[in-house]
Parts: sequence; structure tokens; C-alpha cells
Amino acid sequence: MGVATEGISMTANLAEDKQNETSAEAERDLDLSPAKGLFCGEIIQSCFWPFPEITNEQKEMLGMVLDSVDRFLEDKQENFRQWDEAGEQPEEFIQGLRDLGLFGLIIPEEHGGIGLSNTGYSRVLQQSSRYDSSVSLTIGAHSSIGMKGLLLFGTDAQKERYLPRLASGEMIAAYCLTESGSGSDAASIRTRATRNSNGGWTLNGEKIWITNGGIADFYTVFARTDSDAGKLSAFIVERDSPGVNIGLKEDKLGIRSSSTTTVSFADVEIPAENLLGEEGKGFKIAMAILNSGRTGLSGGAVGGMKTCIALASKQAVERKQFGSSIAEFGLIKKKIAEMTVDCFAAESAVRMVSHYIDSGYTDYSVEAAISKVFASEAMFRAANESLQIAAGNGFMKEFPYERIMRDSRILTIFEGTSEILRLFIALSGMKYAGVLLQELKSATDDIFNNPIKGFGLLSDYAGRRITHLTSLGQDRIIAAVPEILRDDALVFEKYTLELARMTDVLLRRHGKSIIEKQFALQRAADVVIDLFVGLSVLSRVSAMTPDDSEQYQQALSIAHIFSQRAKRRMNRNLRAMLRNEDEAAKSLAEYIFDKQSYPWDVL
Amino acid sequence: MERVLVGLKRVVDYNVRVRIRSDGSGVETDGVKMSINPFDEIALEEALRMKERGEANEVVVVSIGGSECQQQLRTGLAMGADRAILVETAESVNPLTGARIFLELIKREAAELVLLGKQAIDDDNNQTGQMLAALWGRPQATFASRIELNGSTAKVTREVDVGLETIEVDLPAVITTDLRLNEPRYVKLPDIMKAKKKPLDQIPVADLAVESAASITAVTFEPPEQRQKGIIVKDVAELVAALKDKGLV
Ligand SMILES: Cc1cc2nc3c(=O)[nH]c(=O)nc-3n(C[C@H](O)[C@H](O)[C@H](O)COP(=O)(O)OP(=O)(O)OC[C@H]3O[C@@H](n4cnc5c(N)ncnc54)[C@H](O)[C@@H]3O)c2cc1C
Repeated sequence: MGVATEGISMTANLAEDKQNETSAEAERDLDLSPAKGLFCGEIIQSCFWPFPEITNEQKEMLGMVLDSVDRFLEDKQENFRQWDEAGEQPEEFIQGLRDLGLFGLIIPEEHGGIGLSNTGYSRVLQQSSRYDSSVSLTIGAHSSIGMKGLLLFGTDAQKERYLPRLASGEMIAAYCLTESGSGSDAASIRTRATRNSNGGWTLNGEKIWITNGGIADFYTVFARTDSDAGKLSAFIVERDSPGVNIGLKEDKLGIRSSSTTTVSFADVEIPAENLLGEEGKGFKIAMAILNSGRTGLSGGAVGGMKTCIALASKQAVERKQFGSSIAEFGLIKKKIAEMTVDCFAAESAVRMVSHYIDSGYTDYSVEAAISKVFASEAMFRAANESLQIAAGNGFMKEFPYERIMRDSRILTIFEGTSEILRLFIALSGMKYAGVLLQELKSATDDIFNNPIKGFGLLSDYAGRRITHLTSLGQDRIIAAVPEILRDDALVFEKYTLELARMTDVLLRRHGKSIIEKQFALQRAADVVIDLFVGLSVLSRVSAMTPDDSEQYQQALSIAHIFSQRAKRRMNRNLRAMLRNEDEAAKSLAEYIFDKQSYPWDVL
Repeated sequence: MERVLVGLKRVVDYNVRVRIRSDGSGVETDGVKMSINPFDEIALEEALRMKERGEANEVVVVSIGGSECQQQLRTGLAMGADRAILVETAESVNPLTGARIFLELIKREAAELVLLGKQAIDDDNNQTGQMLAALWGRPQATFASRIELNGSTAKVTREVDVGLETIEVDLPAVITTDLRLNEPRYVKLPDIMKAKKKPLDQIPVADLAVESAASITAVTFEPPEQRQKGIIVKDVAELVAALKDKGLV
């Protein structure tokens, strides 16, 4: 069982059984990354089809959890507005979250939690986000990132010690990585932990913008161990350790009632047993936590979109101008349709990724990043467009639109900015494809000498790649898709090959310096985002029972709208990789950096 | 009191806008959110409070229907009931049959108090409690907005048209609950896990050997007529004219 699902998954046992009972084949499947596969020109059908379903028992349980969440939050709309203004959630409310059990969502039952799977957890955050993002953040920063390291990497003794208190909410958790000099470049942190004479560690440094900073008692802290250039390590730090100081709460644009503070450490003594995971593995731990936590944030974004759709469609139907409801106007219909397609698409992709995590996939970081970028940007579009539909009303504090828009702005910034994640998506995919190309080259050379040995040395992908290059492969056609979606599936089959071809071209042209070609990387990322999200949509619609209900027919329509629009976007992105104004744009930016003002001012 | 029996009926959630199936054969329940009948939830809340005050030892929740009713029973267990009984039947159950089934369970369980919702929000029959009391030959107190147990009697405040009526009934009895009796608790998440381990007995309806009451056949279901678009009138004169125009005055 990979670390990624240890102890957090209702389906972990299932996955484990599956893994035990089967052969190396199943194991190999769990090592595949469907998104990286796309860079190699392959849609790994078994990773996308059939669309993941949870069991009836899980549905029943999740239904009960969601009911409780609804009941707890539904009558607090006015409070959320006030707390946004005040910039704080009152203690009684946080106590309410504890009493309900919302801090134990992903903690195993034996430690006092309810052991939700990643899918279940993401769905719960979706529900709470329909009401208020700050609430989701208080719960989410605790579970998705604050104590996730303990679940993933903690020793039994550490788990025994902390999980029960974290499950009850007696201890709330926070994740402390960012510093004033270290944001996206997380590896550059300066907080230091040095070994002390007690056999433990002494911690010094300051973390900023820590969610739950002011209400947490359990901090997962990343620090450089031993030397300034030393590697990172992760530690569990308790709030009442002498030397831990919490700053004032930040005054923010959005998610205002969520606690954001600095957390600083002045000669804080950490016992040796509070090292989390292996010494020197801190960076890996930090990234593993973020990867497995992304479905929480993305689930939240989906929930927010559902609220936008409900609010804006009601507003559109009720508002009359020019003698008719504004819902009659094409430009309003366009907005509602786009929000709905976006929401369905994000929901499908997020469900797919949480299924990977629950099933024990070991390499899902690119897929998780894709779902985060897509869902967070779609959420902001939905917030912006629903405000535009409500227009003047939307601008007024009396209505929820402006708060939703302010709240959703953070989503593309924290837990990895959209820029960083796009670079990560593209580079990971290209690196993978590049290694394969190398492997492929030496393997094909080998074939001439010793074909059997040559093939034997190939990794799975490279093997398939050979088939593809020699035009023998038939598996480029998605067989699992029903006839009615065939034309839409064709889009993804075609552009997956186009992406692989473009990857070859770029790698050949730029080699390692592809890292500096950010414009191209962004385009490659956008293509693969469209592919991954679109395939998730197709898979989901394939799983629906065909009938003549309007709900099914409209779902087909969503698949069609997404596919055709994705096709145009991908086409544009791919063409722009070869012909573009990138150099001119860069040079213009450099000119402006030099001036640091707009040079064409006129009177 | 040893045991309180509480009925939990599975109904379309009160927040759902009910739709009629396109063939008029009934209300659409496919993919529709189903919940415990709100009045039944109030009945359960009251029973749980009795238990918490030490007035009852065991709270048993009962549902009659298909296996999908387990979901509502599990919710009842998560709220705090001790045990659940599902009387399984694929047929739709009318109030008299329901009352007969409850009577059998009362005998099996030696229940001293039966708490039911005053009516279910699906069919709005408002009959089961009354029929059960008559079959059982025990007192009934309907539309309770306050219940006070005093050893062998219960003092029940009822909401009636002219105000509040307080009556005293001997136990065992049937009490049906009204909206203002209490505000049901919501389920705490760890209790959902605990509920999984609580007993839920499934009894095929045939085992109870109750006679099914001559049933009413539903001929057709129709949605209420859509409200006509209103008009805005300037003053009383115009209003009167409009009403005359429509032949209403
Ligand atoms: C409300 C809030 C809550 C937060 N909660 C937490 C928390 O709980 N724990 C925690 O550890 N941190 C937290 N953070 C910090 C958050 O994760 C960082 O803000 C985020 O990682 C971005 O870092 P930065 O703000 O320093 O931006 P920078 O890294 O300075 O980036 C500035 C801009 O440059 C871009 N950029 C940076 N590097 C590159 C590159 N190589 N190529 C191209 N573009 C680049 C970025 O995308 C961005 O647009 C929180 C932040 C906020 C605002």
C-alpha cells in the first residue's frame, strides 16, 4: 500500500485486496499516471473508464454526513456575512464544528474520526463550501494539510498521541511552510532546526500567512535541518511549547473569517520523537501533503460553483429588463451554460482524482494539479459571471455575490499558484516523455541487435510507444465510449496524439532548456488540462443510463459543448507553440520592468 | 418505562419540489432526496429526551417499507435510538395496515409508549396513530406540543384550533407529535459510525401475519395547476372592474 492512502481511505482495504490478489499487472497499473500518459500520446482507458462510483453503503453514510453539514450550516447565512465583516469566526461556532465532528473527517475510526475516503472528504468540503468558504478553510486547512502529514508519515506512537485530540478538534491543526522570503519557492525556507544537547531539536524562524494559525494547537512545521544549505525536515510543534508565538490576524480580501496569522519560533525545543517522517525528507513530505490535499480545495471550488449557479439562475429568471426576464437574453444564457459546463467538468475531474487517491495510485501529482488549476479558475469565473448577472445587486454587500467573489480569489494563489502548477504539470509530463524518448531510442537501437532483449528492457509506456510509432497500435480508439459520444471522443484521441507529437518537437528543439520556455509550457499544460478534464467528462457521461430524460440529454450536451470548445482551445494552443509573439511580449515586459511605469502617457 | 417505539417513515425530503411521474402513476422518487418524515423525527427527538431524563430505558425505531428504509433507520440510530426494526414489504402500506403492523410489534416488544408523527408529509393521512390506539384499546393523545411523563400517566398539551388543550392519559398510550414539540438534534458525525454497529432487525411483513387492509387504488396523480400570471391594478375601482370582468363578483 502506497503511503498516499495509508489510513485515510475507506476504500483502502478494497484497493489492498485488489493489489494482493492480483498480479504485478494491477500493481503496475497503480504506478501509471494517466496525465503523463497523455504526453506520450496515450489515453490509458483503464484509468478513465469506468467512471468511479462509491458503494451504496458509502453513499448512505456520506448522505448522512452531508445532511448534518446542511443542518448545521443552512441557517447561518446572516452569520457568515457578519463574520466576514468582523474578520473572525466566533469561538462558539468553532465549538459547533468540533461538536459536529468536522475535525475528524479523514481520521480513522479507531482514533475517533470517521475515516472518510478522499472522495468522501472532498464531497463534504464541497457541501460546506456551498455556504461559506471560510468554514471550509477552517476544516480544510486542518484536514487537507494541517494534520495530513501525521496521517501519511507519522509513526504509530505519534498517531496514538495526537490523532484522538485532532479528531475531536481539541487540537486544531495548521501547515507551516511559507515564509516572507519563500512562497512558491518552498525549498528556499530559512527556518532552522538544529540538534540540541537533549537529543532533540531547537527551532528558529518565522512562518507567515498560516491558515488556522490563531486557533491551532498542532503545527506541521518545515525547517532546514543542520546547515543553511541542509535539507528540509518536517516537525510536529505544539502551540504551548515555550517560544511559539502567534501574530495578529491578517486583514484580507476574502475568506476573511478564516484565521490567517504568522507563527514564529524562538528557540523552541522539539523532542526527538516529534520529527515527522525521515530527517531530510521534508520537501517531499511537504509536496506529498499538498498533492493529497488538493481534492479538498477543488471539491470546495465545485461546491462554490453550485451556489453560484443556483443564485445566478434564480436572479436571472426573476430580474426583468426591457419587458422580459433577463433569462431570455442570449448573453445571460451563455453565462449560465458556461458555469454549468465548468461545474460539471470540474466535478468530474475532481472525482476522478480522488478515486485515484482512494484506489492507491502512487503517482497522481499531475492529475491533482490539473484538477486544482481547473476547478479553482472555473470557480473564479463562476463567481465573476454570477456577479455580472446580478450586476448592481451583485456589487452590494447585501447580496452574497461579492463575498463569493472575494472568497474565491484565493483559490488560484494558495496551495500552489496557477502559474507554478501549470509549469509543474507541463514539466512533469515532458520529463516523463523525455525519459521515454531516451529509453525508446536506446531500445530501438537494441532491437536491431537483439529484439527480444530490447523489448524486455522497455518500460510499459515505451513498449506501447513502439507500437504506436510502428503504427501497430489500435488502442488509440477509446472503446469504452458509447456511440453517441464517438465524435466527441475523437477530439481527445486526436489531440492526445497531437500533444505527444508537440512534446517530441519541443524536446528535440529545446532539450533541457525547455524549463525556460514558460510560454510553451503553459500551452502544453493547457492542452493536457483540456484533455484530462474532457476525458473525465466523457467517462462520467458514458456511465449514465441512456434514456430520453432531459437530464441525460443535457448531460450529453455538456459533453459535446466541452469537447468542441476544448478542441478549439487545444488547436489554438498547439498552433501557437510554433508561431507566436512570445519573444516580442517578453521583450516588451522587460522594457516595462526597466521603466517600471507606462511609457506612453499623453496629456 | 422500559421501551418506547417510534415510527420513522421514509418520505421525499421536505425541501424537494415534488414532481409527478410522467405516466401519472405517482410521485417521482428516482434520484430524489429521501428523508425521515419531519414529524417522526420530532417523535424520535422526544423519545431520546425521555431516555436522557431517565424516563425510558430503550428507544426502538421502526420503519415499514423496502430495504431502502434502512437509510432512515440508520439516521435514527445515529440520532441516538438503541435498536431498529424494518418491517419489509414491497407494497405501499395504508394507515390501517400500518396500525396493524405496529400493534404486532407492540406485542412483540412489550412497548409502553408509541410515539408517531401526527401525519406523514407524503400522503397527509393523519390516521395511523388514532387507528393504532383503537386497535390496541389504549388511550391516544394527538398533535402533542408538550409531553410530560408522570409515572403511569402522561400529561400532553395538544394544539387545537382554539388554542392549547392539556389532557392526561394513562400509559401505555399512543402519542402523535406536532411541529412545535421540539427541535430535533442533528446527527454528530462520530455517531454515524456508532450507528453502524447498532442492531437493525429486518422482519418480512409476512412473518407478522397481519391482514392487509382493503387498499385504496390510486387512479391518477396530477400536479396542481400552474398559477396564472397576476396583474397589477392601480386602485380599488380597477380591482372591482377586473373581478367583474372575470365574473368573480
Ligand atoms: C490567505 C492565505 C492563506 C495561506 N495559508 C497558508 C498556509 O496555511 N500554510 C502555508 O504554508 N502557506 C499559506 N499561504 C501561502 C501561500 O501558499 C503562498 O502565498 C503561495 O504559495 C504563493 O507564494 P507567494 O505569495 O510568496 O508568491 P510568490 O511565490 O512570490 O509568487 C508571486 C507571483 O510569481 C509567480 N511565480 C513565482 N515563481 C514563478 C516561476 N518560477 N515561474 C513563473 N511564475 C512564478 C507566482 O505564480 C505569482 O503569480 C497562504 C496564503 C494566503 C494568501
